[in-house]
Amino acid sequence: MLDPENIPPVEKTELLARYVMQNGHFRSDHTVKPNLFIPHPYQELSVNRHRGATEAEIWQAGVNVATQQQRTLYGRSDILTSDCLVDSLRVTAQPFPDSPNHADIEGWPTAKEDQKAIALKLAASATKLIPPPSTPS
Amino acid sequence: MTTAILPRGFSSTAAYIDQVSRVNQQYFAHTAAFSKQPAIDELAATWAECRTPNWDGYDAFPIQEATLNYAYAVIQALPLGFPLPSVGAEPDGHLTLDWYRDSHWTISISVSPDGKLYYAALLGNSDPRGSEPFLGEIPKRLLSLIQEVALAKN
Repeated sequence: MLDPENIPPVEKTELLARYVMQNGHFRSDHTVKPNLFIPHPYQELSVNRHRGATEAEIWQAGVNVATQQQRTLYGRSDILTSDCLVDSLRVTAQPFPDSPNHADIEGWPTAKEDQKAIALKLAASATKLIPPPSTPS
Repeated sequence: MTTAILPRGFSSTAAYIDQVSRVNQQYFAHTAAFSKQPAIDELAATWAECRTPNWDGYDAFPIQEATLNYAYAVIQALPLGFPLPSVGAEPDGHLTLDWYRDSHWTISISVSPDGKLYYAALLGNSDPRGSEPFLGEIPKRLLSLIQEVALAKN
């Protein structure tokens, strides 16, 4: 994980993970739906940076979120930071004490149709659902 | 679940056409090729999962019954033989109807509690978007976009 005392800004080449906790957020072929990237009711969308984290730590961050929210962790979808810089969007480091790799995708437009258009593009760029390591494929 | 499909008019001719349309629709709806039941089943499952607040663990709004009824009416208003959507929910309480061919040929329509349809599509390099009211029939613009997605060549 990143050093909480020294959090670097998010670079364009970094991979980000969006955790999937709704079975309606992915299709039967494991491609992810745009709904996964709609930020409401907040103004930003939470992601977890891969940078400086082991695979086990990336998964543990997802498990922590799912446990906290009492949800099922179906997996994660990864996306390059550069693919998130659509229209007005930007990605900023927003570390929490227990989650130094946390970041936000910010700068969402307010119009619903514009949010949907961006969410479609993010879903098109993101990986298919990556199931947790313990899940049989 | 009730349908919100609006009548086409108030004259006796309009009433007759409306009645014949409904009878024909009910007939074809029971055939395997034209049945909309898979989408209706998915709608019901989504409603069951997302009808309470915070259904996503991130303070999502609940899906209201009015939204459910509008989404049901939109599915029923699809022309016979049209491809069926995949149903989902968004955290602002909208239901979504998605048609997906691949990641660059797709359209997503959000149905709001007040019957407004917000849409965005990816058609190769173009990304049309907008909103339309739902007044009992699916706007031609949306039908055209759905067809473009469904008929796109890989």
